[in-house]
Amino acid sequence: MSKKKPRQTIETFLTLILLIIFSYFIVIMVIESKNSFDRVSDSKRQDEDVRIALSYIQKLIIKNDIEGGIEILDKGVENLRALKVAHDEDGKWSTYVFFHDGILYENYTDQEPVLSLSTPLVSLKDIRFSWSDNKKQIIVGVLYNYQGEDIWVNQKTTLMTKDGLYE
Amino acid sequence: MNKRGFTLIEIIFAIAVLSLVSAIILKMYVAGFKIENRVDVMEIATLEAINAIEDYKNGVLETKVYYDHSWQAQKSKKDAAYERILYVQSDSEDERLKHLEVKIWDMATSKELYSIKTKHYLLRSSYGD
Repeated sequence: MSKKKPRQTIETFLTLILLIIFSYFIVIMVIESKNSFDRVSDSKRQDEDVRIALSYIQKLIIKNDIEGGIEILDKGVENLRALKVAHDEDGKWSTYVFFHDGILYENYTDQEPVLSLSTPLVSLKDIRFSWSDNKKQIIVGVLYNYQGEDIWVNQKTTLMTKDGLYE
Repeated sequence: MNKRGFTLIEIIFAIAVLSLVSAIILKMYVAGFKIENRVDVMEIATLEAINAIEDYKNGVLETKVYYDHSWQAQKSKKDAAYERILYVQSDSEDERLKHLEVKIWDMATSKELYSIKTKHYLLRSSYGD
């Protein structure tokens, strides 16, 4: 049985160390790449969801901006705060937009709206509807993850039918 | 078969190559992180620019608004991270037709982040410029 020289043993050991470092580096890179991809995907999905929700609500308001047709109800749909947008002068058919359990819903109906018959639109962290001080603007606030911190971002929509904006 | 193993030069060269590759990949991560942050900033800058136009329609005539790093409006310019400026110009032929331009500036770099131009026709006479 041949005995290895001490120098050869050290060289093999060094090679092994180098291989281990390289393998560790590759594993770390793969894990970090996955995390990075997940983070970017989540951020992109959040941006899209927020944009879809805000665009949808703004278009809904602008398209149906009739005198007294837009209301914010404290208990609009099963005790949930909702934005009510009437589609005609008598307010028979209306769309209710509301938030429940991380999802934004809409309900287009001529009856009392219920959650079970509502259509889910997009996932959001939170959303709130409010009026501006002069009651001429609807402010839709969305909870948005901004660089790791949750902040409220607002979208304002001015009603053209309010208080003589249309002459 | 070469039984000499690796020389010191070979090991140093291997480590140098590994370091170079790591540096390039790390730079890509940093660039990716910066782009992700910029997307967030642009998302809110776009919203705030549109809000300025909506505020003008509502009769709120704030031409300059300052924001902190979390995009909360603040009164003073001191420690502001972003600035929103609204430019209003009346049309030469029709006083009621307004040319609006909103610019969002990054105060740290003094670079323009976002700008939007639009026109708005005043339907009531109680607006000011």
